[in-house]
Amino acid sequence: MNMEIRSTELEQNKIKPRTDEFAIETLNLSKSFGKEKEIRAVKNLNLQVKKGEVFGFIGPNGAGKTTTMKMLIGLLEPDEGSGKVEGFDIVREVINIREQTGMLPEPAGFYDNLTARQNLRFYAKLYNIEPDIREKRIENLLETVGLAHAIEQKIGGFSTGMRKRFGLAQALINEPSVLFLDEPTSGIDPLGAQRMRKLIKDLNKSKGVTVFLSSHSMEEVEEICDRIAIISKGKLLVIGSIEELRDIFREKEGIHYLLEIQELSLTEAAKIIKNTEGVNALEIQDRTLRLHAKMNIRTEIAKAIKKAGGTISMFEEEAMNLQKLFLKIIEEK
Amino acid sequence: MPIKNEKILPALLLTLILLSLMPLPVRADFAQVAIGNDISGKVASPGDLVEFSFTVEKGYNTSKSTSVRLFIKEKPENWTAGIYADGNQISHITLPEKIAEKDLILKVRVPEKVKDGVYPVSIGLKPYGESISKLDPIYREFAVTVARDAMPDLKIYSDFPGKKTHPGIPVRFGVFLENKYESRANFRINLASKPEEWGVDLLSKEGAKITKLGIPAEQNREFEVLVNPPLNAIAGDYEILVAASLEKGNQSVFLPLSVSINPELAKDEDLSAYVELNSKIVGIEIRPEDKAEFTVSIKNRYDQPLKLNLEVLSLPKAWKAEFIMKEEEKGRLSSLRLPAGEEQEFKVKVSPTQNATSGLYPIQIAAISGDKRVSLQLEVGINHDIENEELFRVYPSSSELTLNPGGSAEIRVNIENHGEEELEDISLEINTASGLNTQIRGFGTIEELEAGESRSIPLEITANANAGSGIKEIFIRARSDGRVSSEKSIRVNVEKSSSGGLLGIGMLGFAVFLLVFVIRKFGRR
Amino acid sequence: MKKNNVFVLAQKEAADHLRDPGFLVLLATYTAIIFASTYMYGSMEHQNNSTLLSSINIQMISRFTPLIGIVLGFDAVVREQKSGSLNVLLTHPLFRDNILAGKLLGSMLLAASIIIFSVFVSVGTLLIFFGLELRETDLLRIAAFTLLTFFYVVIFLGIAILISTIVKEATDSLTYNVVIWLFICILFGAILKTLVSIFTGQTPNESVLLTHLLNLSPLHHYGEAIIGRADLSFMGVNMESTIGGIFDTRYSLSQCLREFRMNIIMLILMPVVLFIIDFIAFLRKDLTL
Repeated sequence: MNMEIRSTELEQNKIKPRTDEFAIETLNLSKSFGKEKEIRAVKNLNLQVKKGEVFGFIGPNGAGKTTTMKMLIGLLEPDEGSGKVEGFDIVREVINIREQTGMLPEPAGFYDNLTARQNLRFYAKLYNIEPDIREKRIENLLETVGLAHAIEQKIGGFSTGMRKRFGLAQALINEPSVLFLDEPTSGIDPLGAQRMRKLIKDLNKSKGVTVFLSSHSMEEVEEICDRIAIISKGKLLVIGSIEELRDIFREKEGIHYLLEIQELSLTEAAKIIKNTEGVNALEIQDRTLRLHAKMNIRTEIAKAIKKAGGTISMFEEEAMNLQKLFLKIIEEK
Repeated sequence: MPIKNEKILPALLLTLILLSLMPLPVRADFAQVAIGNDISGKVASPGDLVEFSFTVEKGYNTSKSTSVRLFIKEKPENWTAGIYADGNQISHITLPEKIAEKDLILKVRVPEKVKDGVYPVSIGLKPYGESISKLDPIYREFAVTVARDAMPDLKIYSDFPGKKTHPGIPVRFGVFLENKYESRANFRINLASKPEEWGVDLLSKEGAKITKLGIPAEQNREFEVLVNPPLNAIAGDYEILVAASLEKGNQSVFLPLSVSINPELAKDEDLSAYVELNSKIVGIEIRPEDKAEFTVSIKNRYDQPLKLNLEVLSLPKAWKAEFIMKEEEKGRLSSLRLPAGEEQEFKVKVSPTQNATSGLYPIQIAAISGDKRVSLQLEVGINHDIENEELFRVYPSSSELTLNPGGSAEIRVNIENHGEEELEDISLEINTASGLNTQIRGFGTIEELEAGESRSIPLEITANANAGSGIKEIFIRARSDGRVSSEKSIRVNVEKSSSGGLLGIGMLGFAVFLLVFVIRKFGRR
Repeated sequence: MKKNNVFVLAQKEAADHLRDPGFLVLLATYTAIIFASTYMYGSMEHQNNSTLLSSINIQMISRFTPLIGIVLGFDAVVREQKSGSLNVLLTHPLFRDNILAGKLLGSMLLAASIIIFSVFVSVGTLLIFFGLELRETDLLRIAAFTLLTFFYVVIFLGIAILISTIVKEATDSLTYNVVIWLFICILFGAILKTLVSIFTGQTPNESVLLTHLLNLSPLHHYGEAIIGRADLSFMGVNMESTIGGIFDTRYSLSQCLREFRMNIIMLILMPVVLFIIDFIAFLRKDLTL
């Protein structure tokens, strides 16, 4: 409801620059493949990506991540639904979107017979960038992605990591406000991946670029993303910040607490805690109590222990495995 | 009048000095005879006969008959001198009682080869007889001054020294030359000056060109000056200077003749004064089946355009004569308008009757303007013995052409049947030089050609690309059954085209430029 | 919107070819073939027409020039798609048709340059070595010949790009293209003759069917328009029209153009149709990886 009102407002404000809270938003975006449209790649996807945030789009292979990205930059036309990137319609204003965005697709190929500079120069020409600005920008970009040394080398001789970073530079050639990165770290070693992630984070910080990245690694997304959407089989399962995801997890799975108590025997303490409302399970591990609660019952437990005369020397929530959560969510749905 | 002052002045001076030195008339008062003379010095040219008159007089108050011996006392070597009375040379005279004096003449012949200078001639008189008391001879000296530069004693004049005429129309002047010497003299006449491009002739009364005139003493002779102003003469006054001099002398006397050019056409002038009708060839001998073609030129010497009609004035019966423009076969010329001074050539084609007998036939043609005409007579000789092969002829439209290797040109070969029979299955036989190709365009053979008809066949001549430079000849003849026409040749000059070569270099240059341009423009990344 | 991008792509396409050693070797070989055959023909004797025009070896040109189109086009799409560069290219602000238009434009431009280059080199050499005369009529005919040759080459460019859009591997594309070239430029006449005589039992040269079938071949239209020969392929059909194509100087150029207008129209129409098919195939294809 709310969404629809906003979208009509956007319709009325077509004149550039369109300012809006959201860099990307979709409404019931759907896409099917196959002769009979039997393969539903994306189903009724509703997304809102705020300006300046790093948005992670995760899901298993074939979940519809790439299809969504393609629809967002106009490479594919949605069967149903609509979308806007930087206020431009993803069907009718594709070129405007591409002018404003950069994308590192997966797989990404470049002209192996050309040098890094020649490659970037070619892409730059597509944006009509003045030659002197263009050359400077090419050098800066390659410097940024750490390829300054390879500026006159042919792309054909680049390693996978270098290619990925070059791909990032390529996506930035038009100084985009939105960056689509399709699995930016796939195929590179952990060190390279780390470097890439730092690069993305820095870009987001320094230039305020909205980043929409897809990944199948929760860890990666957790590290750099402000918000995350999980997609599977074309359906959006969860969307929110890491913390929000955690809450959902807690809600769903309850919370594991670790307790160390003094001046009270573990068995006694266990008894008291067991009687507290909301505690599902309890086990004693050495000198630590591990309990599983349905909800946040910290205060209740603290009160009960105190009443019993014990002192809590440690009371921690057990670290949540988001990857596990992610898998769980996907399995569930 | 251009007078040669440098020569005349010293001569005048010399004459003056001599005259002042000349002794005054002397009288031997007390002698029995005396010599009286007015002139004792004369100027002469080499070869001249100089005459001095003097009188022999009896002495003062003497009435007796007196005899005098006359002799030449002194004369330069090789000179001859004699004393004459009444035309006869004498050595003695006798003056009878009643006659007091006698006129005598001393004639001195100046040799041809003599240097300029003063030569004295002395005569002596020696009276003899009873009554002579004093026997000493009397001498009288005469001086002959030989001066080649001396002004001749002649007069040249004309009754009408100024005349009017038209450009291109000659005018005649009658000029008189008067010998003022006492003896016959030869005079040289020549033209001292005339306007450029004008023709001037000096003619005797009989019309012969003359350079000298011999005139008896104190008589005159007439001669003619024929002045022919050019056609392009502009209106105005012109001067012709005729000079006359003694044959041996250097000094001339001049007569200016003035000619006024008036471009207006005089009504009574004959048209021939303005229009020239001319043909280099005036007689052609042909077979009666053939045609005679004369090339006639007509020239307008007048300074304004003239419209001229061409007409045949006389022609043998049943003959035809036509006027044809030089280049065009079609169309007949009947009149033309000639700009001033222009010349136009045309052809007169005369077709005799087929049965004309051998002989010479005159044809008179004329150019007519108004009621005036200029005519020209042409002659056609009919000769039945001229070779018969000419009945069947080929004529290539051009006999010489220049081709570049690979180039081609189309000419037309005219096949003419001048015979009386129809010719059938006529084909051209072409003998080509190496490097040349010929191709008959259209139909290769002519099925039939009526008598008197002609047909032209287009023939393309191509020089091969590898044809060497130089002149090559193609021979063409026509054949019909047994008959073969005479052979005509076409000279083909094969020249490598330098412009083509330059163009080729240009094209190669352009090709390279194109490649460089494309690489520079599109090859950059 | 961005017409400029078509030119950027065309320029890149041209530059890619110009920097490709293989392409340059082909260009040199081609020019050498044309030059040598022209030189040899030039020194022979010719019965008809202009020596200059007769010196241009149409048979050779008609067989080898299509290779230019093939080399320019056979990997145009498949190479980019395979390498994933198309994937990246498509994320930039240009339409799909811009990509194909740019490629076609760049290749056509190069084809035109090569043809003009080879014609100028050949004709220039003839003029220099043989001192031939270049007449206006020759010049016009050479211009017409150059244009028709261009269209002829562009037909093969269209075919090559179509194949390169359809197939998955560049090597496959090259194979198919060479087969098509062999079929059209070398064997068409002979195959047609054989087939027609098998199925109709007629002497091939007199068969109306054969003349109809010949219309399928660009070589036929090219050969007929330029020198009036119905088939220039190896052991092909031996038919000649009365007018020897636009090279027949016995007839004026406009007469020739009128006489062969159907051939000329076909030569222009074929690439247009092929281009349309190219665009449809390219736009329908899922180009992304």
